[in-house]
Amino acid sequence: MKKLALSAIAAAGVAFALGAAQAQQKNVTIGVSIPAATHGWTGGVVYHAEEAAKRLEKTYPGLKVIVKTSPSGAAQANALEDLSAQKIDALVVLPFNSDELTNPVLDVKRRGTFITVVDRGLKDPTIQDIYVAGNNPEFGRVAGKYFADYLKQGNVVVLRGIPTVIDEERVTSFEKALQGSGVKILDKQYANWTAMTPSASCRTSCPSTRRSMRSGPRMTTWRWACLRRSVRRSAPTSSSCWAVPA
Amino acid sequence: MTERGAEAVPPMKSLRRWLHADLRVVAPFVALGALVLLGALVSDRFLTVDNLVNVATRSAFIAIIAVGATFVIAGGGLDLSVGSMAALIAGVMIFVMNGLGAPAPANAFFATLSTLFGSSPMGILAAGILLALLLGALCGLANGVVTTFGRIEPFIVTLGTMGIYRGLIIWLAAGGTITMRSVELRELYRPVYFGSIAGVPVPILIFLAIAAAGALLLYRTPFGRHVVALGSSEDVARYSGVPIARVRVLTYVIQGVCVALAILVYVPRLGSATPTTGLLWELQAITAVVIGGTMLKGGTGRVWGTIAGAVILELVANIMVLSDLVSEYLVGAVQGAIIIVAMLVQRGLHRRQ
Repeated sequence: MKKLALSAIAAAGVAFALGAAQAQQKNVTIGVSIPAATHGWTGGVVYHAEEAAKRLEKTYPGLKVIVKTSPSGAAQANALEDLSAQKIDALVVLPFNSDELTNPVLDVKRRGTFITVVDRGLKDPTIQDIYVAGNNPEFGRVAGKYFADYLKQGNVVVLRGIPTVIDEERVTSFEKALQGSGVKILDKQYANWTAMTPSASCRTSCPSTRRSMRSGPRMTTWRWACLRRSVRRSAPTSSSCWAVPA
Repeated sequence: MTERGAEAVPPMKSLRRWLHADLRVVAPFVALGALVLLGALVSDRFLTVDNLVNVATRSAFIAIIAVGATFVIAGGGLDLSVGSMAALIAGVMIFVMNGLGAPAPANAFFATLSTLFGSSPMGILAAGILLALLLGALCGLANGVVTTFGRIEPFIVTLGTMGIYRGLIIWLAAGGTITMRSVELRELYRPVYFGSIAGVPVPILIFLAIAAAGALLLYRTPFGRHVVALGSSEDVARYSGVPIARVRVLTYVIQGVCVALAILVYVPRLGSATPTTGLLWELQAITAVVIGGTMLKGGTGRVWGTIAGAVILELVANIMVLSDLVSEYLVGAVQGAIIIVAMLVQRGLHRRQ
């Protein structure tokens, strides 16, 4: 996924810089708006976006890339306005969430800016000129199949991410993959892809989980299985997490 | 700004009085001017029309809320719940508009609203706006009534309602987002934030109109005088026949309505409410009021100063983003330092008088 974000910025950059640089030494400005590093994955996105910006600016004289990070949806809306005021020709945006950023990105679009949307997506897909994302329905399906095969029987709590287009895609196909298996989803909650919320929200704010934790010896030991965007287990800082009774 | 008396005084004394009174009134505007100069020095992109208009438009939310906070603080109160209240009002407003836009009304409540307002986008929008204003007034009323009749410190009451309002929005959104579903409605409502009249963005016009109304109410009506009297000394006000309870409750209601008005401008921008909507707005609103020259202990209220304060906060953030002097991640720290410095300056000017 890091590569994905990187290549999105590179793709938009190259598309513009090539066209511009080859025609004549024209000045092109690309704005890049991404969420601040709230967890490991976004940390990677920020780092690689900044590296890519440096590399592209070196490769294509006349190209300027402005990278802005924002800690919330409202802050990102501000950042988009600031970028627009700097007369950007193209925008690469990884929306903090799909709902809030749709209107602000539409506003940038209406000023004639070329829009590349990365990963999290907007509510209205007609706004974007390019959309770069992983195969999110497949992430959900593979994860669901893994649980069905691995657990056979059992209860699962879904700690989903931030309400976004891709989160919906993943969870929907996760549920679909579980259909007909012995694995039951007790509850779904937004954990916002942060390191802190998953455990806290699952331990404290999910009554059905607590009930089942107390209900029998089989349910007393818990293991936290966290899934990166593939099935590999990794640190709980990555995308969607599932708690699995062992 | 309008507090200078016109009565006859000896020339020397009048000049001295003018200087002193004016220093405190003018201070926020001097600071604003200094910031604009600083901005022009550190970035060549700062003084563009686009950028300045962006900053002013963006300060609309805090400016409108802070006009209400000026009343509460001038009357010797405090409202910490405005950020949570904003999130709750935004959430309920969108929730109701989504409910009315649904093909069939979900329950009796929506059915009644539907028959009252019709199912045209305009009718739905009108219902949402009226409901937002009503909810704002009710939230403010709750703060005011508990503070006044429960005789509890406003700090504690509004700290409590801050938690309550925030909890309600998280519950209503089920931890996620409440979003305006109808594209038609979004398009209809959009100009309220993104539109402009004669080149001036609508949010700027709205906050100037609200500030003008606030200034009129605070400086030119008996109610405004009562608020200031209550903030100066509750006992004196009581013995002077000021209806203390009513005036105090009304300041909180005004605050609630101002929050609702801010939300009416906010919703067309992002089109949704999340558990983090309006986070720390109370800090910004109170900072704007204090920078503007209103005493935190009550007894003075300066509406135009408050507006300057709100714009100053956004200007500081904007300058930090545009320049490389200080990391933009420190915006919160700088805004926090500003409120302390503003208090020190205020204290200094007060002592000189």
